[in-house]
Amino acid sequence: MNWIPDRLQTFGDEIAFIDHYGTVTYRQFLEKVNHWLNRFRTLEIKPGQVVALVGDCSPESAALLVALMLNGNTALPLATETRHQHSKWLQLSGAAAVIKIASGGKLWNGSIFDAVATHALIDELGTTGAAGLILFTSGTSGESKGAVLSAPALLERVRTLDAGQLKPRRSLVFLKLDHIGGINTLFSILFNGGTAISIGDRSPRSVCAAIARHRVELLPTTPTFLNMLLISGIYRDFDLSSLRVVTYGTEPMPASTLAGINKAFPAVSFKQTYGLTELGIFSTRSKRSNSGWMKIGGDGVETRIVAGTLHIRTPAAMLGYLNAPSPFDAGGWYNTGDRVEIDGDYIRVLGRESEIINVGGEKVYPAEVESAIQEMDNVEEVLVSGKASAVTGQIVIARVVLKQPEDRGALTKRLVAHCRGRLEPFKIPRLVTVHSESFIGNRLKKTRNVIDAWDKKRSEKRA
Amino acid sequence: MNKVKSTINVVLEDIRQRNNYPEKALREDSKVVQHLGFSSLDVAELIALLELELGVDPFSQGVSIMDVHTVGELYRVYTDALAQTATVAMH
Repeated sequence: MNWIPDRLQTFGDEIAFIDHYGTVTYRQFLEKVNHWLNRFRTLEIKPGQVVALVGDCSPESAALLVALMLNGNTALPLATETRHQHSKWLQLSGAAAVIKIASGGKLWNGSIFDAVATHALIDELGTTGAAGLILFTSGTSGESKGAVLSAPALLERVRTLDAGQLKPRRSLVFLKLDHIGGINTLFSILFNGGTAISIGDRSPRSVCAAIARHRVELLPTTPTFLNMLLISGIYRDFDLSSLRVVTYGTEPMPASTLAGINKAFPAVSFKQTYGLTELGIFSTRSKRSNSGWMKIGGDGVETRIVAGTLHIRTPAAMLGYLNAPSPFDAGGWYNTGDRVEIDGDYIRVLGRESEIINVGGEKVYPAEVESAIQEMDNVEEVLVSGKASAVTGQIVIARVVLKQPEDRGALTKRLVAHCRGRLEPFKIPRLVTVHSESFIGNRLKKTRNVIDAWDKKRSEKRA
Repeated sequence: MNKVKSTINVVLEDIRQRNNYPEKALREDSKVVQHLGFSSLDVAELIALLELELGVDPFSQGVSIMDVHTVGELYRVYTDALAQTATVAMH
């Protein structure tokens, strides 16, 4: 990992971070990293130990993360929103210490735990002396799983960039450090000599204000956020002419949102990213700015399609889960669970296999139906899923958050009329319900498992 | 007319109108598929809407969809299912 300080040093007095509290140059950032390395000695944090880091993306938390990697530790970044899970995750990880960075990074406090037994996967990292990273999955399909990744393998993509390939962009840090997308954004900025701009809240207004004020060039975000941006119309109030590239990932992009956002920002290039906690982030190339088709690649990355589902093999893959069996087959392939279409070298993600709705033997992808409904007036958010049916196996149900109150019956009539001609009959929602609470979770994507909670609550109420 | 019957009639009429099916007098011996022209998806929708309106789904509680053909049979299975729910609640 010696290349890290060398690379950071070459950026000298360029600005590494801008946040609410001011700016930090690369030189100052390296000083912070060195301060942390000295503090580790005082705190008796030794190489090979797991250290949890609680806090948003700030110069201080980023410096701590880099210092942990240089010290040969395994970092466990945690966001404050998941605090109810922290004690369980700390125990699972066998964390030796937890360091909390307060907002703005001006204050920090650390707790050192008594020696605990470490997990075999952490020991495996320890024997090679490699730094690691533990990321917990969002748990949309059950219990959150702790993925153990090797930091050198994850950073190989940026390590191998030579000076001529660096793209030092001013980029907004949108996703948090407990997410593979947030980690990837931070590392891509830092090791390319770019500027990371962090913001307190991720509302469309704050994001637009930050883009305008700091002349942001790159916005890594989610389809859900882009949809919120379009619906709010707030982007019209700001000068966003600095924006060059918007990358989006973590969930399928509705065709209506992609078309709308390309129309609203004709000078911006829209690029789909693809990554998974278990495998890291891949190099992708979109067919066109307004296309959902992309190529997935990178050194040593192999893809194959098995029965319509994407499988990937990559040297950056995690070592395994802390609390679940290995998901890799004997050949090292990982089933992503994403159903895809193929066109030559390009693929298009249709949706998660687990979210496919089966109506009388016909497959329905929620993203396609949501895209059609999202075009309608008065629709703020929509979540489409399947509901068990004694007649057709499942039927399509659309849960809608409205902008203005509207009678459910009238909305159903409008929705069905709108979908006719756009969708095949079996894809048209047969049940429409109106909801007052947003479906958008703290990772700014739709929280699909919220449905299970509602259905459970309804059946409990009935009982 | 009791609540179950009126709710079933309203939902049947709602689905008929949305699909532009010809208007037909609703009788207890009217067959939902043959007489009213409902497709399997319409029947699936009918059951889902009745669950929303009445709070019960008899077909998830052991009643076979194959045994219910007419409007009168619909009245009966939903009336029975509601009565069963009320009994369970009392215990």
